[in-house]
Order: sequence, then structure tokens, then C-alpha cells
Amino acid sequence: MNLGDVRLVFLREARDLLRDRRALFASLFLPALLYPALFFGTAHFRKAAEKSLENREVVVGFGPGAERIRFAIEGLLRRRPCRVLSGSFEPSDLAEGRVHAIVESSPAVPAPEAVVRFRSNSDLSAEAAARVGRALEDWREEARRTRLETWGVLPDPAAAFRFEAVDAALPERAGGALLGRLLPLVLVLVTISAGSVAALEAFAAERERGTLETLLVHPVAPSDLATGKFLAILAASLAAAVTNVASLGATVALGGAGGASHSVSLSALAGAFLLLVPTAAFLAGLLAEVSARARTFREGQNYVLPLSLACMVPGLAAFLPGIELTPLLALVPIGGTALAIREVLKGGAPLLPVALAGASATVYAALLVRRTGRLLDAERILRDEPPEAEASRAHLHSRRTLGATAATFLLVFYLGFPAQARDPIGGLLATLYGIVLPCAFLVARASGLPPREAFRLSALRPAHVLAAAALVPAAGAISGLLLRLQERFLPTPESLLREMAEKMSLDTISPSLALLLFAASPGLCEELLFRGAILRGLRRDLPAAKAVAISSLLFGAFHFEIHRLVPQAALGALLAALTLRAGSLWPAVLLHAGHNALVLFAGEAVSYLLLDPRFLVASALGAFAAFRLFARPGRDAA
Amino acid sequence: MSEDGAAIRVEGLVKVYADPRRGEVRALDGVSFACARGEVLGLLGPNGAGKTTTLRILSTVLLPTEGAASVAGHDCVEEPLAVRRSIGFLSANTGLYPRLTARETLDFFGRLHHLPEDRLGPRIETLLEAFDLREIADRRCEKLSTGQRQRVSLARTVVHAPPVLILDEPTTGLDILGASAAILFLQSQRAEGCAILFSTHVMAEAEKLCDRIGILHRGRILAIGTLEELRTRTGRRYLEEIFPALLSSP
Repeated sequence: MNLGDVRLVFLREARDLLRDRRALFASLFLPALLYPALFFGTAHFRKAAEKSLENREVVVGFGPGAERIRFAIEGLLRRRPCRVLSGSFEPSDLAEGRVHAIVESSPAVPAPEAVVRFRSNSDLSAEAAARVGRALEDWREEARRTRLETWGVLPDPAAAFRFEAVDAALPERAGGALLGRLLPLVLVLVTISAGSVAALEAFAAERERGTLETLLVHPVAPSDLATGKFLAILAASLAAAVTNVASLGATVALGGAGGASHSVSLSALAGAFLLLVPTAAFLAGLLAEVSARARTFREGQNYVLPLSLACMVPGLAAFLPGIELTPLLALVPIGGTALAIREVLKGGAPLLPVALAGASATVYAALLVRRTGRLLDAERILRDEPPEAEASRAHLHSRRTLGATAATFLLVFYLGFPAQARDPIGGLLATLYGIVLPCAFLVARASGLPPREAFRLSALRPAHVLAAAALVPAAGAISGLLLRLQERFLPTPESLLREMAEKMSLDTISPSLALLLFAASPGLCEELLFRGAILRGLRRDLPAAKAVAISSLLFGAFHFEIHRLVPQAALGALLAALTLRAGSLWPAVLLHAGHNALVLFAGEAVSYLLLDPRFLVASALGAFAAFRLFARPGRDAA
Repeated sequence: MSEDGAAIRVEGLVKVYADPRRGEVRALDGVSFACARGEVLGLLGPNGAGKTTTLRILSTVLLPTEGAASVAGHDCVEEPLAVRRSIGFLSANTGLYPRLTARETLDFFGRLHHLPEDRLGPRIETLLEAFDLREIADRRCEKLSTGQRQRVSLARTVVHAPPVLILDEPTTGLDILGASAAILFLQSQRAEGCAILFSTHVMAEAEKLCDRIGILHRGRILAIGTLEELRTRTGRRYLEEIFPALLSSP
């Protein structure tokens, strides 16, 4: 590596970014203005809105039983602009804005009970309800005081029950805990935001305006060019992060955070920054990788947006309550360091996971930086028809398959799930036979495959049945073991377990209906969609491994439940591999149904069997034997 | 220089692309030629003939599938950095940084060629003068006209005083005066012993500037020689007539 060349390229990139308004905005202005806008701006608007509402007239209606209450609080209500009505009111009066709140009282209750009806989606209605609530409180307090005075007991404030919450945390740790939740996510966001502009400028825009070719004909190694550009992206990202932290400090110091204590020790900030550097390097490498594949700035933006959204997901880990930094989570890119930064800002961070997060982020960054050397492959960049365009065209069938799959997912989500919520049995059958099955044909059509070729259900052979039967234990073992492993860091909520158990309970439906609902029907309909139309559609222009991986992930995601994603995706991979090996969809249909039946009738027993090595060995042997049934070459005609 | 003194030597150059629509495409199919010091060799051919691919292989940004190419005695595949140090390359695709000024552009590319500090400053001043850029030297390239940008590009190409110039349609975008100035500049470079290989669509330019002309069609050299030699071979006087005559000859 020629450091002089790297420095020269870096300085030129940096100068370019400093002269680019978009880069300046993303690296300096946005991170600097974020907190003032967030704290001062929202506080200002909230106060203004509250003030405006306080001065607006509200209409409060008192129902037939609430005359006593009206008599008591009308005067209090009229301290602000308020019109008071009496009579019978219907919910439509609220909906149509004739009254903003209705006060009712039930005469059956010994003590007068006031019920205030309002609409939470109307600010004025909520304000009216709040005014009624405050008036009732004042009236009650006044009544209590009057009664005590009548009895000759003077209310003594000192004798009242006093409540005070005392925070035992050190002030900087309390502040750090609050910041620790917010800051990692914000830092990931501003780092990506600034880095993406720099990356698009350094690679995609260079390619678009031809300066990349100018650079490539000069005596500088492409790896040095890429390294200089990578450093410029990293510098822009870190500048954004530093500006953001400085802005936060200044905003808090100026009282912009509502007077709350957010002080953090300098050493905690330094530790957080040290953890951020490899994360920013990792993100810079990712952004460089993606931007270098785009031919134009606009095309690059299309690539960067989904990447940014994907990076935000692990970044959210630090923001969500209940996710603790464990050694395993520390290894998750971005998420591990986000959690580690949170712990460092909170104070008393566990050393091992934090060190693991820092070390793993450094390793990921180093691996990506090594790849940047290959980004400027002139053969790829300068071809009249770039490989991306070829790939894009070559992947036409896959893209159409995925588009139709997305439509299927939307239909299931917006039509199928509500139907199942209303009627679990009818809704499930409607989803499978009314949406999934027709959509399988739709996806096959979109990928340009005739149904016969997509589904391959022509001849059921004994080998298909044998293979499926032999693989049922392996399918149960794979999904069961993955579920157990996942439980260690992503425990399934009790409510979900209860819901699943209730849904598949054999107490309310007959075993034969349960088999039809939960085994045979998903086996047929989901296999026609996933291992039939989607897998075959992807296979038209993707290698087998990619087609299996994508269709399996889609199958995992199809259940719309994060806790089922991995086990279902693994099951999907097994089914997909079997389908390709067998050259027929029958084994997957039978295995899917068999697996579901196993879970349905022997769910508890399977979890005990998973602890028995003999069961696991038998599963592995069964899987081996099943695949050997179709091991002859040329059976996968995909 | 190669053993026979040629500054550019190309032998049996083949470049094959894998195109998903058309299958295997032979952009170059056994191209051979040489260009000596102080010589201007023009490559003429219709779009897709292989001109740009040839020039890009010589500038080391593309690798040949078969054959050999060398510039100033350096092999294009084995010694790409040495080749790039010896060439000034300009094509329609070699753009300028919009947010750098003309002076900063020359400074940056001069430094990429590792010109020593004491030579870089005077060289930039000389080029600003030679290309009539002094008045716009501190204006950002994004503010320049097409012609002014092309003059900056030409100055960038020769900032390190290369012994070999490889130019792909260097007068594209220039008005008559600009094109004429560029031609004069290339003639002056030839007089200084520079080997110049350039492609063009402008026949008059080729006739005026080139010592020899190579006609490229579908990845092959149909003919190469002086204008006189091409006239003799085809029996036509002007390149506009020679060119189609060669394309239609068996």
C-alpha cells in the first residue's frame, strides 16, 4: 500500500465533501441540529399547542343523571371558555362535534360516579375531558376541606402522607442510562446518513461522471484508491457522530432537555466513541460495497436505503427495553456495539461482552476493509454493459417471482390474518385455499413457469413417501433444536406460547379436523407456493443454494413472527433441498404435513426426545437415507 | 521502448466478453499494430468496432483475453503501473471533478504522478498558459463550458509530460477553434517525440493529423497504412470514400 497515494485520494475526497452541500448537511448540520430541533422545537410546539387549546371554548354536555355534578362543577369549568349543556346525548353528538365531552352519572351507585365520554382522536375533546377531570378533582378537594372544617379538624399539610421517590443511582449514571438507550440508535442513524452521502459521492457519482475512469488510468493501485475513499467515508461518518454528541452535550447544557439530568462522565463518552469507531468503519465498508455497485448516484440511493433500514434493526437493540448485552449478542454486527455503547454510558458495563462487541466489530470492519481493495475492478466498472445490468436482466424471473410473493404476503397479512382473528378455523381455511393456493399459481405465472413445471406433482412414487417419512424426525429435531437455541437469547413470550397452544388445541376440535387444518392443508398449499412456485421461479436464474436460501427465508418470514423465523426458515431449507433433490414436490408436501402432525400430536414428547442422543442419531440417519433415495445424478431438472 | 523502438506495440489482441443476450462477444479479434515515437496513429471505425476496447487495454484498465500489448516497453498486463506512468489517457468517459478548480485538478493529477513539488508548480503554470486556461484557472470545473472542460482534460492528460498519448475522440465537444487548438497541440507533442494513438470519427482530423491510419471493423484491423497507401489500395482519394470501400471489400 502506498500511504502517500491513499492520503492524496483521501484529501481530495475530503475536500470534495467539504464543498458538497448534501455531504455538509448530512455530516454536520443534521447531526448538530437534531437535538435542538428535537428538544427545543418539540417543547416549543407542545407549549404553543397546549396554550392554544387552553384558550379554546369547549362544549360539555351533562346527561340526565349528572345534574348534581353539573351543579357542583359548572362554576369551576367556566374559569376557562366553556359552554355547558344539559339533556340527553348520544355518541353521535360526540362524533359530530356538537359536544366535546359528555358527563354521565349512574344513580344506582351509592356514591356519585362520574363517567366522562370523549374522543381521544380529537384534541379539543381530550382537552374538554381533562378540564372536567380537573374540575372534579378541585371540587372533591374543596368538599373534603369543607367537611374537615365542619368537624373542627383543620387540615394540616405536614400531617399528610408524603411520598417521595429517591433515585439511588449516581447522577451521571442515571443520565447515562437515559442517553444510553437513545444515543446508540441515533449514532447509527447519523453515521449511516453521513456515510451514505459520502459513499455515493465517492463511488456511484464518480462512476456516473466518468472521474472513476480518469482515476483508474493513473499510476495508483485500485486498492489504494478504494482505501482513500473508504477513509473519507469513515471520516464523514465519524464527523457526524462527534458533531451529534457535541450537539447533545450543548443542548443538555443549555437546558434543552427539559431540565432533566443527562450528564455522562467523559470517560464513558470516550469509551462509547472507541466502540463507535469500528462500527462506523463496518458501516463505511458496507456503504462502500453497496455504492461501488451502482452506476449512478440515483441507483446508489436505491441500494443504500434498504441497507440503512436493515442496519437500523440491530441498532434498535439498545433502545428496546429488556434486551441485555450477552456474549452471544455482542457478536451481532451493529447490535452488539449498540448494546455495548449503552452499557458503557450507563456505567458498570460488563467487561467481557463489551470487549467482545468491540473486538467483533473490529474484525467485521477489517474483513470489509479488505474487500474494499477489490471494489474498483475496472473490468466490471468499464464494461459497456456492466455486470449489474446483466445480472439485473438475468434475474428478471427472480425479481418477478419476488414481486408476486410480496403481493401474496400483503394479501395474507391484510385479508388472511383478520379473517383468522374473526374465525380461526374458517379464516385459516380461507387463507390457505382462498389466498395461498391461488397465489401459488399467480407466482408461477409471474415467473413464467407453466404450473406443471412449477409444481411437479405428476406422479407420487413410493420413494417420495419413504423419504418424507424418514425425514419427519429430522425436521422435528432441526426446528426443535433451533427453537431451544433461540430461547437462550430471544425467549418466546408466554402470551405467544399460550396463543399457539390454544390455536392448535385438540380439546376444541376433532383430531381429523386438526390434521386437515394444521397438517394437510399447510402441507399442500404452502408447499405449492414456497417449494413450488417461489423456489422454481428463483431457480430459473439463481444458483440452487441462493434459491434455497431466499425461498427458506421467505418461508420463515411468512409466519410474520420473529420467534418462528429461524426454525421455520431451517425447515424451509430442508424442504427446498429435498424438493430439488427429488425433482418432485410430493416429498416436501408429505414431509411438511408429517412435521406439522408430529408437532400437533407429540409436541411435548418431541422436546423430551430432543434430549435423547439416540433420537438425534436416528434423525440424522433418516435424513441421510432419504436424500440417498434421490441421490442419482440428473434428478434435479431445475 | 520495445526492441524495434515502437512506443506502442499490440500483437494478436483478443478481447471476449460474456454477454447474456448475445452470448460470447469478441470485441477484438486478433488486432495487431505498432506506433513509433513521434508518430500519430489514428484508429478509425464505426461504433462497436473495438476502438475504445483497444485503447482501454493499452491504458491497462481492461485485460486482454489473448495477445500482448506493451507501452513504452512495459507490458500492459504485467506492469500496469509502469504503463500508466508512461501514458496520458483521455476519452469521452474520463470526466473531471466538478468541485475542483482547473488548477486544483492539475495539481491533484500531477501529484498522483508523483511529480516533485519544485516541478509541479511551474508545470501547472505552463499548461494553464498553453491551453489558455489562466483566466479560468481558479473556477470550479462545474462552472466551465464544455470546451473549457475539454481543454482542462487535455492539460490533465499531459500534466506529467508522458511519452505516449492515448486519446479516444479528443476533440469531442470542442468548437472549431477549440478543435483546431487541440490539433495544434497534438502536432506540437508529436514534434517533441511523443507517440500518439487516437481514435476519431472526424475524417478531416485524421487526414490532417495522422501519419498512419488503421481501419478497425468488428474487432479486426481491415487496413493500416499512410493515407497514400490506403488511397492506392482502394483507389479512392478521400477518407470518406476509402472508409466505406474498405468496409465493403471482401
